[in-house]
Amino acid sequence: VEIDGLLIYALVAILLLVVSVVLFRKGTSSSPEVVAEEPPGGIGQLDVTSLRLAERIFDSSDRDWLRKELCFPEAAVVLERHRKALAIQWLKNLRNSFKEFVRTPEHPAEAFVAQNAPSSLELLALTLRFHLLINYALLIVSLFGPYHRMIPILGTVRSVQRLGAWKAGFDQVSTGQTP
Amino acid sequence: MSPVSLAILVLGVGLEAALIARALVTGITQKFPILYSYIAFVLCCEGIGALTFFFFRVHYANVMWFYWVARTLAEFGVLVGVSDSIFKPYPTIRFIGRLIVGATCVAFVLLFAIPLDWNPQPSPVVFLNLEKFSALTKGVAIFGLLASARSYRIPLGRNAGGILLGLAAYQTVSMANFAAAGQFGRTIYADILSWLAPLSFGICLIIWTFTLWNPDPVLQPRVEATGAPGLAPDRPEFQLRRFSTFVTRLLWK
Repeated sequence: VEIDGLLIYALVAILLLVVSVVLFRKGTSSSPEVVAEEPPGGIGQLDVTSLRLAERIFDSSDRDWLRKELCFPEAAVVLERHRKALAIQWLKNLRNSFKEFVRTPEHPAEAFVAQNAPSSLELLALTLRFHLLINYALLIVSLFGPYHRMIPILGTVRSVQRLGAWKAGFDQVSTGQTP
Repeated sequence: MSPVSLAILVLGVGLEAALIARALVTGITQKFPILYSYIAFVLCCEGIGALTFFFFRVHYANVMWFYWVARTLAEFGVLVGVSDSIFKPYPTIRFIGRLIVGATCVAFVLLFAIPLDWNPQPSPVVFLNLEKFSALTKGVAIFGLLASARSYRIPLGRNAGGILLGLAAYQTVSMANFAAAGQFGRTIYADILSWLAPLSFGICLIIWTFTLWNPDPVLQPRVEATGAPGLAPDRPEFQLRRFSTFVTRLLWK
């Protein structure tokens, strides 16, 4: 058992060293010019078109239309499968665009002009937040598909909100105020 | 001290002196001030250690203990310095290296350092375990830095990459070495430890000598034609928030 412990440390050491050598070779072999010439595979400019495309991909109305109105459940299943692949691709492209944006170096003049810019820690927090969100979204889409509710508790929250709004309206009516 | 370990020690001192002398010529010390402070510190402490060993042998163990603690902490500082030089040009992830090193440090303290048996007179096994865990932590931190740079496709550069590779070689050999020392005990492993420990740092110094001999050229950042700098829509926090808003809208559907 004691030799096993030593063996584990030796294996971890070898693994860390090999991985470090591989990452070093990859990190030093790609010059910035090569990185810039790589196909971006991202969404590019974040605009309304990109968002509309995403909303279309994640919208289940087409599937419901196929299934319920046209009564083609098999076609609906195929569509859902295709939309799932599209959704995953869209999310990965968004992540690639994000990484492309992150690795754009700061121009010295920009650093000088932006006096009231947020600190690097705030920017890092925003970066980590995006990674958390995108990885969560990718996990949910990979496991359950693009039409699954991403935040399971959201339905309950909305019900509570509706209940609160209904209760407020009821209170106003009972006290004689116009809602 | 065996002739082998003495030869390795002399080689190490020679390499440290050569690294510092070359850095003063090329001016690379400005790029990696913490690293060169560390090398100078090690060089001075080796000199002080040698003097203590030959003239004040009674205090040798205490001197080496303080040296070891300071050096272990300084190596975390070297990692922070290198990570700063890698991620500095990228404002949104400028502190990601510090976060990685800090998180591994906290994990090291919580998982390894605190649970050790800290009696008033801790046994040598405790120190060996501490050294082993410290090397493991630094190895994981180096992996985290390299993987993070790779994930964003950030060019490492020969200098910064070489520093991390040298440290990786040093820490991984140290980890296996101290694990074996704790396992086999002083009677079996003391001789091997006496030359393998300086050899692991010697390997690191050889890698540093090759990769730091010539400084990397300073690359000018790309200028994006997206408008004048400082305008609100181009500022990174707006872009970052826009990315998060995209995903948040999907999550809250």
